Amino acid sequence: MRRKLAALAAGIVAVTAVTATALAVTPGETPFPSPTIVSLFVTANTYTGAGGAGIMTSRFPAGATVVFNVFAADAKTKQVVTADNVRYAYIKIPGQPNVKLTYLAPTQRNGTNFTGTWTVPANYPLGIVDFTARFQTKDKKYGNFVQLPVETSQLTIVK
Amino acid sequence: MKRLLLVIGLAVAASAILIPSFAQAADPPKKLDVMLYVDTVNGSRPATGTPRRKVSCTQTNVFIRGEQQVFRVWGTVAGSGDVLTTENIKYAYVSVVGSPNLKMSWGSHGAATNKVWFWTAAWNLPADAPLGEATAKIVFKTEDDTFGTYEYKYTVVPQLNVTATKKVATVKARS
Repeated sequence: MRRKLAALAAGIVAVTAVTATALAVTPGETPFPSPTIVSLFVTANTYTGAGGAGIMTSRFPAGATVVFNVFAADAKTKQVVTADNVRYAYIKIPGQPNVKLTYLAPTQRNGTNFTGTWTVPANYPLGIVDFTARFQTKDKKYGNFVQLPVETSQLTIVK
Repeated sequence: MKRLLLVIGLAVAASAILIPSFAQAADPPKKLDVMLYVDTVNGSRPATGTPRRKVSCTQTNVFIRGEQQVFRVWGTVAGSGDVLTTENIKYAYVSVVGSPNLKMSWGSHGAATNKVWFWTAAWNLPADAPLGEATAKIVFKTEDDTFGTYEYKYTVVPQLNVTATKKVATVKARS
């Protein structure tokens, strides 16, 4: 039993050492969103209008239209996701139907390649909207976007 | 003769591949070495005499002169998937109109119970910042000598007498 525990402990130490080396993360740091992105890289920004017509903001009143400008790419193959290789892409909003994202040919490096709109219902609760963007490609790679955990910068419904 | 036809065929095939790639030179690349997320928030330290917004650190790309604009960036080195940190970045900066390049700093942010690390650079828009749309360029160079860039558009307006709500759009229209 003691021998088995020792072997297990040695294994854990070895795995930890390999992981720490591979990730090259300084102890005490918590890189956002995680030390490594193993599948799809996904970002989202919220705008008041589509196609560069609106302004970026995180604060919307009820009744306003939120435009999600989203970027997705494969963090391993470096390939930007396109309409041809995406299986699904949507924004998940608590208490709301999913917002389907449609492909938009990017006009710049790291630029928007998917977009979707959400009209905030009149009775939607005021406060932070904990939305996520979710992707799956046809080769079964997944990616999510979550907002930076700085409350005042998160999507918020205001009066 | 067969060999001649083969050469002509190969030349035609090669041109079919090459011509579209030249024609699309202006398009953004379909593969990226470094992937970036970029936004800006209004900082809590505007220049003296500049009115403060009711809430700091809200996402916005509309600012008045003297306001503090904070660039927030995170990203990944494509291929390895490692998130950008000081361990794999040689340098990172934001190029803006009206200031020397702003060096990006790697640091922790957020509530004490949920602090995360990402890159930031802050500056106060100059008193003579040109009104209208401007573009900042964010540049990251990795230890592997690959680059990540992002062209970020923001707007400088003469005044902003409301918080960053739907009324901001009205202010922009007035400018």
